[in-house]
Amino acid sequence: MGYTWNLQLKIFKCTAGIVIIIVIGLAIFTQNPLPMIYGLLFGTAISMLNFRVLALTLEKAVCMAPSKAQVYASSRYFIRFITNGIVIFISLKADYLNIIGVIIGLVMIKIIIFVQNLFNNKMFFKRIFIRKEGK
Amino acid sequence: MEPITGRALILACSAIGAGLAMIAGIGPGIGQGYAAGKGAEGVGRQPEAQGDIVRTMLLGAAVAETTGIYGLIVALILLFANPLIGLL
Repeated sequence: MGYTWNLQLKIFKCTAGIVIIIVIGLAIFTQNPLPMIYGLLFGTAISMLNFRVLALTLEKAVCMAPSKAQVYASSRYFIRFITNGIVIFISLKADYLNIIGVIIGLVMIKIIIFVQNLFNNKMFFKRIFIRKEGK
Repeated sequence: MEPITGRALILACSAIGAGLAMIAGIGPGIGQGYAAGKGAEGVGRQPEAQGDIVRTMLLGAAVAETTGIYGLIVALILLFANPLIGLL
């Protein structure tokens, strides 16, 4: 399944878990949560598919010549960009989708990547509050 | 000649703003292409590190891609769900 399948699976599982928790929270604590839930699910599904397409693109691009890889990766990026544009446009026009939910869903992958790879170390937070003079 | 109304001015300025916001979508595309080219060079130089290179590049590219989405959201909101018209 390629070099990145385990990484993709890890991120997909984490994203799905976080989204389920948010959906349950919305369902319990808010009135009329359906547009937000639909928007969140829609945005998350699209962002996960985009992440999968990105992984396939990069796996293919690194096997090409550098100049070809540049053009290939850039052209595929703009296809994903247009897809995202269509998704946001639909969510703006459709009454049954909340645009805030869609936006949160679209950037959910980035949040998960940050949480898993950058903010997973307690020392990172400790170092923020240690002043340089105190070292 | 008819005078320019406040609504027309807001719509015109929003269209210009949307166009400017779309510039944000170009940067990640150039960056991703550059990263993919350098990744291909790296794999050519050290083929056994292909897995590590692709994994690191994937995470970086996914984070960079979100920046373009922000610009796209601002542009589409200015065009299709302009909140400034409601202020008139």
